[in-house]
Amino acid sequence: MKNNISKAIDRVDGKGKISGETKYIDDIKFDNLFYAKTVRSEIPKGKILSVKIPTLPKNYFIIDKNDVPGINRMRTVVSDHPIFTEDEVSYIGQPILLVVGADREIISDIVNEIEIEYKEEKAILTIEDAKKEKAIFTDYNYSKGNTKFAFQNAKIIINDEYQTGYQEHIYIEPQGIVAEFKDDIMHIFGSMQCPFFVQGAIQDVLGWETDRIRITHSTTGGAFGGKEEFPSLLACQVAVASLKTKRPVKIIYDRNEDIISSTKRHPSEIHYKVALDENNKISALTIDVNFNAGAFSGISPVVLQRGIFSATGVYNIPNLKVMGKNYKTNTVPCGAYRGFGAPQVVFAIEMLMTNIAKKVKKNSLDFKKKHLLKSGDFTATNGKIRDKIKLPEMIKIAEKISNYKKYSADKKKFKGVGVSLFSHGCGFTGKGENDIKGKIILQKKGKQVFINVSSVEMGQGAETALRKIVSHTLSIPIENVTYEIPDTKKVPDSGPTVASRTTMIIGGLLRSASIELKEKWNEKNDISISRIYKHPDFLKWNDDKFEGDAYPVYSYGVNVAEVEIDPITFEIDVKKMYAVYDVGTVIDERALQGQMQGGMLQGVGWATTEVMNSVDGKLVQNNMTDYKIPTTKDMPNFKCEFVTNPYEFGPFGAKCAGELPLTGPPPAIAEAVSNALGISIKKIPITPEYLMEAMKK
Amino acid sequence: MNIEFQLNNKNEMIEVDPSRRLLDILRDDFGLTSVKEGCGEGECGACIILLDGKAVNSCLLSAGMIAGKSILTLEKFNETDEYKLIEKSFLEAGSVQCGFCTSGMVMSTAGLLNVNSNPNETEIKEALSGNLCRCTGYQMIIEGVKLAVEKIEKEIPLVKSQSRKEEKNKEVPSKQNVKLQRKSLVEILNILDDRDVTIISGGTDLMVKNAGGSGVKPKFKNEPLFIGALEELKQIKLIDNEIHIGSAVTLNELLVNENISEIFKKSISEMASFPTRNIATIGGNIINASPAGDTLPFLYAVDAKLVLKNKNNERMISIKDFILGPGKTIINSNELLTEIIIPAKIYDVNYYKKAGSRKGMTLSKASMIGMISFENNLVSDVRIAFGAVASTVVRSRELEEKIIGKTNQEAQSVYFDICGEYEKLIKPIDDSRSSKKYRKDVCLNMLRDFFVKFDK
Repeated sequence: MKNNISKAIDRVDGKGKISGETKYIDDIKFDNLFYAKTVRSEIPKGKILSVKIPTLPKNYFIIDKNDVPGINRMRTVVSDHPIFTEDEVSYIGQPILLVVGADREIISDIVNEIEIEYKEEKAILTIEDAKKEKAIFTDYNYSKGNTKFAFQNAKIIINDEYQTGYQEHIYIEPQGIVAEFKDDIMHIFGSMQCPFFVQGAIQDVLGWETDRIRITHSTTGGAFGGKEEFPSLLACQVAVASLKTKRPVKIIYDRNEDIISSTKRHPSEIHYKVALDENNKISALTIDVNFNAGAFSGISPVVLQRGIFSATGVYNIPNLKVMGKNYKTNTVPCGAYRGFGAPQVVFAIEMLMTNIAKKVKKNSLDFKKKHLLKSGDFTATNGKIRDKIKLPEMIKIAEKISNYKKYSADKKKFKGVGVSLFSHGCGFTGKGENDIKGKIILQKKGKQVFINVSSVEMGQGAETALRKIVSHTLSIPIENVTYEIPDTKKVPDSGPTVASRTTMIIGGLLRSASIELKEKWNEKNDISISRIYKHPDFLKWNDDKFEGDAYPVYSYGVNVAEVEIDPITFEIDVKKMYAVYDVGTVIDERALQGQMQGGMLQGVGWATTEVMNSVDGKLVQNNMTDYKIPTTKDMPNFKCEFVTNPYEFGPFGAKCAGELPLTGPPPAIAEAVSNALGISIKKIPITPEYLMEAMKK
Repeated sequence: MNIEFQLNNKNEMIEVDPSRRLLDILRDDFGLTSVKEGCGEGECGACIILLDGKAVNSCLLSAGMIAGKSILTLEKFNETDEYKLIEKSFLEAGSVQCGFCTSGMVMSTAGLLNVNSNPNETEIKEALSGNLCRCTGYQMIIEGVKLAVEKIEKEIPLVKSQSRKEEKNKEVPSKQNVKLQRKSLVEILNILDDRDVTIISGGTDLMVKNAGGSGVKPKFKNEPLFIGALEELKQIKLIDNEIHIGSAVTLNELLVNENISEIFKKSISEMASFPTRNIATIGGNIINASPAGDTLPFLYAVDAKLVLKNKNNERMISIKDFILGPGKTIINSNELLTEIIIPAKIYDVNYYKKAGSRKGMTLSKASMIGMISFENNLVSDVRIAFGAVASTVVRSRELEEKIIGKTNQEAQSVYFDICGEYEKLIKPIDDSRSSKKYRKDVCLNMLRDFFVKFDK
């Protein structure tokens, strides 16, 4: 088996999914099952005065804060979200209690009869409000060089501001968890990215040791970050319910409920102050990143960290001051979403570059090229770029496949092309990977090899990729490698399934274990090899100053977008998206194409049709009819290519991939629209309403 | 009530509340879990099954609508040779990631192949426009379908036609055993006269508006009465230069009917999604009286007449007198809309434009239909109507008459006057889809565009 690792193979989970046989959480049968439905806050902020519960039929239960034996908070980065509301509600949709029982019709009737009386209080609804009230969860800053001097000597100083909107994940499978309390063990099944996060959260809410808490992953119908920290909340709630009722309890969200209550991408406002020197080069930037975190902090601090560490994009900015704030508002909490804070700031920096180029009458791509980071340069946080940056070569390929020069020279009104250059820091931010110390176990029993990891399959192709890495290293057929369903009772904690660390970090550990297994292959006994992640010594990070290697390595991308604007309605038609990526080594060409194209369409949606506004604390677009993700009629034609640039510590040289594709399209599309209409674009989504107004000015 | 239907080639009879969703019945009563719930509002397509061979969202169907019908889910379809080639193609093309949308995609593909054995890319995109996928970006799914079409054509063309024939032969005798349980028009009118009921035709709006969530039956205001299967309401006839359309004719049936004009078809083709149009009816769109109902601008423009029947009488009324405002019509509780009558006349220049939130499956933010004819170089007739920008469709015969009898050049010269007048009539609102301002501006852009188009 000397074939190239990148050569595509059939997805190992493909057949079951195409034939409809694969079972997702809502498809699994449990005997004596109870269902749970959540009663939620209907006001953005206030005190609960009373909760009137109707007389409950036999075997129907209310589960609320009083039933929590342990800590009534969901464990995550900042454990501030109550499992069940205590006296105060902080956003519309905040869970107050569960109604639990066997028949969903009866549950629905009970839910409708419950009356909650509130004393409403003045809510903070926007970043503007929060600024006035100083409602800030997190306040970060870092700097590099001497910005003061650079601004004093600047030829031109420019102030600019960009905004990005909410984005909802719209995994097609809604959130769902089952808790089964049996034989003194709390057993959780469900759709999730991080079984051990859920275990930790249950540990807090029940006050138990982990040996009595077992989490089994079920096939996950899409996640994109939306099932990173959020499922812990549902799991804690149904665990409490199952403990009280002694029955398995299932909670499956309806779509509307999922949209109004689950975490989203943070809306952002990003301000820039730019110093240009006499050569029209950026000598300094002051960047002020503002995220709306919603009512609870949760995972937001790390999202903001990635945001501010990515704030200079792929550019070498010698003097820099970066500030970042998470604002506390009485709106739905935001959390992890593919790209984790970076797509917001990359949109902003790319558009800033475009708009400055326009101001100094330069071609935007030339202006960007003049500022590109290269090997040996230092990142925003003064981490050294150790690997080769292939962006110049990638730009050439992108120009060629998209016929960019021809199209950009074509100055037809209502048609335009745009380019974006971007990168994504691979794996956890800062010392995250070193803190987690992911563990894997590779076992050989007879001829069969077993992968024991907590990294889950959620559509991204983890099972195929990991089995491929092991089988390829061992030169055995992929059928002889078994991927064990992540179950905290059986697999070690390899950390969460996030940040592309599954292929790069976990895949790397499996590759290393496989190499050892290969040497021992002929030993007769069963073999078990484990690995614990060790942070490479050369990576330096100061978590107090935010200085050093924020990421071990970066993946890169170049996008070209071709758009047409309808001159009557100003609707945007994204005709084509071209992309060139450097993700180190490609582990499976076809699977990666799928990741890239799918991620790009999420970027296209976020930039164009995915409007989500909060008015008076309530999401206006709160179902799939109103929140518009692209359909087959809205997709552009995709063309993606890859350059090889192996990373020493990734399996076969693989780096991160999944987040990168979402990042590129918004600025490329915005630049294309800006070129098509001759206006500056300052925010996404770029709606026809926005364009119509902009054209009047 | 007892409902008989055919499920995966087997006759079934179930005792069921007629308003229960087919989706719940399939999953909970029959354990057919390939049918997924992703939204419960007919948007995502994860619950698509075949109803009499057509792709339909099972969350939009209630038990009362499936009596006498045949239902096919992936559990049975995956035994066919056609399926096996689809599976192979999806694997080869990388059409699958998380898999939650996949069974719906496969069933939509099956539905497409039933009506079109050699679809092109545009037709594939249209057929899958009611299936949302968040993982793949669709291109690799479309490639998978293309590959499947190729394989089916090339590898086993015989099997395909044989299995189709076999299936049809199998279906007919066994379905004869299934009681149709359909009421006649007379019976329906008697019921309407007797008590208050909620009339359900296609159900695509009512099932969503009254939805109770997963596993909970929709709660209709009154006892539901299903009329969608009534043969008397499913005819399209050309009589004396007028087209008589039964109120339960579906949108997709209109799209393939030779009597329906291209411009009406254009407005229909931009409505909802392919599977929704398989059950949504023209009568339902009218009775809903939504300001954003997309059949309405055309029907207003041609002065469509509506036939309302009760037990003893029938009356005919023009659509503009029928609709009073959002959700409000003059229909009496004992009356049924049975027929829509439109002139067969075709205009010389036909214009339709819709502004939506995206291209597939979108409600109108604003729309305009314009039709004009010339005789001896003079405008002989013109019709202009705007949708979704006031409580009902905006149309003014008075303003149209200002154009009639004029030469093209003269017509162009009154544009500014007319434009100002329409501006007064267009009274849009701000809502979750768009803004007042945009809606007004876009209407005036459309009006100008129409004038530019017929100027050529």
